[in-house]
Amino acid sequence: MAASRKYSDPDVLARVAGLSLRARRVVEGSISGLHKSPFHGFSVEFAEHREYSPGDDLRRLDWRVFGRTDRYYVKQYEQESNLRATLAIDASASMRYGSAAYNKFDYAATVAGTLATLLIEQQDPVGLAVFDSQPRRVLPPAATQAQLVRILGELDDAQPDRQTSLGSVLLTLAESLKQRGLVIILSDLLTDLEAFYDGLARLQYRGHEIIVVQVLDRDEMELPFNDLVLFRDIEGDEELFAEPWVFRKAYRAAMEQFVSEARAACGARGIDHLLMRTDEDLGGALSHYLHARERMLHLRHRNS
Amino acid sequence: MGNLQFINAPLLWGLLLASVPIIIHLLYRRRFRRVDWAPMHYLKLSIQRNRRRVRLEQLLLLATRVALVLLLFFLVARPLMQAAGLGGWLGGRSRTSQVLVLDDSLSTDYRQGGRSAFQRAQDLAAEVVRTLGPKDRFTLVLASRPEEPLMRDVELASPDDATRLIAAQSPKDTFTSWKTTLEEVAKLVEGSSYPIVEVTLFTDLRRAGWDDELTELGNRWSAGRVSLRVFDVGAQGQDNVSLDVLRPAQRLALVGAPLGFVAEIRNDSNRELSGVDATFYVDDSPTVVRLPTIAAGERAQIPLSATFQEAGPHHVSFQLPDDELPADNRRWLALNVREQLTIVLIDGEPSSEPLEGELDFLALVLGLGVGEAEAFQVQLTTDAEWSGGGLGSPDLIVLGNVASIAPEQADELARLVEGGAGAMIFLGEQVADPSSYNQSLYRGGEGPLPAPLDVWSEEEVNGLLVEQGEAGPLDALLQINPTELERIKVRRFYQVQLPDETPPGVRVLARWNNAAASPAVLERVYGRGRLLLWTVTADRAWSDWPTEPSYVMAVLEAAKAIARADDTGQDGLAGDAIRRAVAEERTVTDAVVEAPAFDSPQPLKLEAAESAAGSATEATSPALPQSAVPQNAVPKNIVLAFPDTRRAGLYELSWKESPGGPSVAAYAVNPDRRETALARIEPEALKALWGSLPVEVISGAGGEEGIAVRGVEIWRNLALCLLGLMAFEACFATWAGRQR
Repeated sequence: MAASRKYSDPDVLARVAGLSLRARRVVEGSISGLHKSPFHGFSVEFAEHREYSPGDDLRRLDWRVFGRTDRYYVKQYEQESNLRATLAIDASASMRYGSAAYNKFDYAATVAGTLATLLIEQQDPVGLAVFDSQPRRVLPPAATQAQLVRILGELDDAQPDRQTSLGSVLLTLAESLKQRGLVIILSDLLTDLEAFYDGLARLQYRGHEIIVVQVLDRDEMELPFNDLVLFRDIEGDEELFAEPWVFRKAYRAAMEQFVSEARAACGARGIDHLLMRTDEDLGGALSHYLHARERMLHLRHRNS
Repeated sequence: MGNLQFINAPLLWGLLLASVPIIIHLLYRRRFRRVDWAPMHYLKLSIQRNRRRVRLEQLLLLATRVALVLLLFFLVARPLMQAAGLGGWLGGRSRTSQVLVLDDSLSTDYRQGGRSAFQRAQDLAAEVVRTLGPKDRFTLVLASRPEEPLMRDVELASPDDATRLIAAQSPKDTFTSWKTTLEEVAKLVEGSSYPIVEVTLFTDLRRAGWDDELTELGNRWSAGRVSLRVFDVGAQGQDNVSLDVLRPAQRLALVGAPLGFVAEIRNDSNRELSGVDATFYVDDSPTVVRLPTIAAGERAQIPLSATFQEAGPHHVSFQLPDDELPADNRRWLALNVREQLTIVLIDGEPSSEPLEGELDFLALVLGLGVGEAEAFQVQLTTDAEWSGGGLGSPDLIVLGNVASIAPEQADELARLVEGGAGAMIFLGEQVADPSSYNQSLYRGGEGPLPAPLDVWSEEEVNGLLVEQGEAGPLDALLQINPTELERIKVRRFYQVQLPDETPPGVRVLARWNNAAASPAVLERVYGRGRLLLWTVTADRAWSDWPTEPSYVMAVLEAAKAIARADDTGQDGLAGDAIRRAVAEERTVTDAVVEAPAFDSPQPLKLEAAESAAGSATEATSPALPQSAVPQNAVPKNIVLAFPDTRRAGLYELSWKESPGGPSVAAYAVNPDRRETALARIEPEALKALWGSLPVEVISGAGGEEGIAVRGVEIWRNLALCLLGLMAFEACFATWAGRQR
């Protein structure tokens, strides 16, 4: 299967190349692990075979497969680490809105694709959960290129539609994810926030680390319209005729408060909250976040 | 709100434009875009929180913009409110003394569009009265009698009192000199109760009467919180046909003798007067007179004639058909027709032979009469029989070749001439020594003789030259063929010594046709009479003139011209008081006058005539209805006076004198011709007369549309409101925009 290129932006990838996305508990684990090499003290699980290429470590040759097929294959192993990431991306109708080059879903999907690429390069397993009012498509984590292809393909196939019910989705996800890991939620968070916070709590209870990436459009933040507008609920039937300039200030304040409250709620739970606007430079924003996260983790390692 | 009117009412249609902001608001909502929106919750939240405030702001802005349009068109329509109540408050008026001056001069009767200027003035004045504040003081004055206001500084209990009085007025036949009228008004202004005085003039703005500058008065009023506004009630039209003059062609009206009159008509219209009939009244008996064609802009003289069969007061009038200004279409003449003229001939060289006496021929000529009337009663006497004081009261005295004049004779002659009689002196051989004439009659220029006598000349002269110029007793000779006068042969004539500068009252009526142009006939106006000095004899002794037909004409015309004219019939102008002197040492009772403006006889005022010092004083004041002077009080000089002659027509005075009995006199009061000049004065020229006083001139001539509206203008206050509202709209719109 050929990899979908839609959500694999080389520019973005170039911006984040060399950066890593580590779970906080990986660092802690590695610290508490005390002088363990990445390959020691960790259970290594067989992941898949691949055909032998000159230069591969001969110790990895699977002789059983050679005995059966008379062909040389090496074993690839999945290193068990503290980071098993799941990208939970909101594919509800509200993510369809966009005024810039990307709509919100495209933007979030590009972030997801980038992070997936990054994690797989780190040999960290990455899974995907596409949801709207319920999980629509779930890929269990894996750290192979094939997984990346599958993830990108699923993202490409996803069509934002239906309503959002992030809270119930997170609850479902919490039940379905067997191993603790990192859950990266990509959504506009235009949902029942209380239920959402309950979902976050549930995931945390199950031992997951969470990063919330809130994707919003510039229009949704600024309400720049100077005409009379008939607003139609993108996820429902409601319509509202209004003169945007009349209450623009109040609306902006409400959206700022919404974002602040979400950030504060996440911060109170020790959850990273990253606000990304579709008119922002995606690569720069992601790179900035990953740099900051690495610095933060490095500081903690030094101080502990 | 009171009575609200608008000067520019048609502009009120602009109020409909106040709907434009509403229409824009409604139409604007029809254009919108559709947006599929995710954060509906926050949208609704922000709308809900601001809905009420925003709605109020929008309504307030819309209301402000609608009000701006309404106020703008309301303002340019120039609303007027009554000065009372809200209008007075908005107009910012304090208690005011209002002085209304109504122009009731002759020209205000000019009609155009079915209404006269005076009627428009009445309506406007009534409107102004209704706008008075409740505490204002009111004075109403007619321009024809400013010294006697109809109402003076009163607080009106009801405007109806004043409006009724205004409606009862009518135009007069007088001329208004505005300087004189306004000086009287100024006295009323100075006596007003309140310091703020508003003078309102209702006039037709005809130039006549506005000849004098009013700078001093204007400056005085400007400094004294007096405002002036002028309502122009005059029509623009100036077409008018007027009867300018009605005059007798002769001085003397004698029973049975045709008396000529001349009526002068002026056609100041732009149409030819043709086929028009006028009416000639002789003692109220009408006769239709067909007028000749009078071209536009031209004048015409109409000859008229009447013969009176009875002596006494008579009157004639001539009336044109009514036009735009009917008041100047009729004129009157009052005259006294006399039975005869009494002529005394004093013959200095009488003769028992027929026509041999000095004045026999003259007596024959004078005895011819006038027409069919025996107009002259001739008494012939001699200088020997003439004693000073015995001539009685003749109308004409003729001296013929009287050798000398005794002082008492000269005194009598001078007294008679001074009293109005005429005198003619013919010279002759008997006047060998002119010194007695010079001393007794010339008196160094103080006597009735026109010039001192010199010596007679033996120069033979052919012809007489009549002097032309001012009208004179010998003007009839100018109408005859000059050859008739050239035939006159003179063999001897008296020379006179005329000073280099001819004294006043002296003139040469005719000269002999010689190189020196020696005076032939001289005239001296002396007192109320005249004396003619003929430098030849009355008979053929010194000239052949008595044999010429021109001699008869000359003597007759001269006699009629200088004989005493009865002044019991007099003429005057409307507005000029009638004054009739009564003979000295008489008691006067029952003095009344029948006047055109009154239905019943009015009492005459009795005044003391001028004393020897020359000052006039009032014997009684005001006029008494009946016996004016107690029987036991006999004033020396009495004048019967009637001041109110503002209406043209015939005024018939009657009174009883003691001794003497009933007396009558007629006066013809005619319209003042100055008011028939209808040229208008432009408002700017009127304002320029008033110096520093700002004068508001308001057009009040609405023609058939009626009268322009009046009231207190409030546009200034509205303009301030408009500016404030505009500033408010701008600030509020900016603030509301920032809030969002």
